[in-house]
Amino acid sequence: MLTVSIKNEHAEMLAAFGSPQKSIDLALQRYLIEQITAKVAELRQKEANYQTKYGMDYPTFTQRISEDEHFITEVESNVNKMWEIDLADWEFCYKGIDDWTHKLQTILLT
Amino acid sequence: MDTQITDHFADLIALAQTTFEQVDYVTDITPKRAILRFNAKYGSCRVFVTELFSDGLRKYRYYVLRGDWVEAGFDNSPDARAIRLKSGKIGKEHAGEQIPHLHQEDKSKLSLTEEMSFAAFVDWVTANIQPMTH
Repeated sequence: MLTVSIKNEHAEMLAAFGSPQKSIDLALQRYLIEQITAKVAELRQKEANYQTKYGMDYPTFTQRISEDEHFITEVESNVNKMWEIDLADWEFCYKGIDDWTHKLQTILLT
Repeated sequence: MDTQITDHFADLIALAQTTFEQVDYVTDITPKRAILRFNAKYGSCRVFVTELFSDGLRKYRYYVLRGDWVEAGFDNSPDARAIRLKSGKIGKEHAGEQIPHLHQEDKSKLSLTEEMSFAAFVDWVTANIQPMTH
């Protein structure tokens, strides 16, 4: 378990609301929920931008670039010559939404 | 982020900063993934690098452009053209396979390569690309 220090003035105020440990746990939980929710929103926005840019969802795009050379030629001519860089970032966003959502569920259930 | 990946990204950025100019980078993580993206200048060329650690794999994109012309692009994306070159055919059985390859001549030429590290990319660039500073 990690030990962190808190300011005396905060510790004194926390004591007024009951167990400092419980208060800190609850505050941390709320902070993490807020941070993760913001991160998921950011990833969703980026993921939506890629969907708009390429006109399809991530699973369809990954399938087509693996199986359709003509599709790649069209993408490189009309959308982005370096789609490979977008693909990596898109994967990070698409799968990252799930990663953080699962983490959020874990926090909410504890 | 896994400390090994953190260290790896730090080493990569340090090497980039000793080789290229105006290195502008971003890292991000999820509980299961980590990504580094940067762009930089190499004389009159621009360098674009992405490394993604996802599902136990390192997915890399190392590109050098002169203007909009792709001088060289090393990556291991599941590009259908690279899959055909390696396997002789494309199809669902090869979908998603990571195939290390090199794009040249503005992506009109593609060849298969060994798995590439960023350090090997830097060596390749300094040996093969004249930066032609203005």
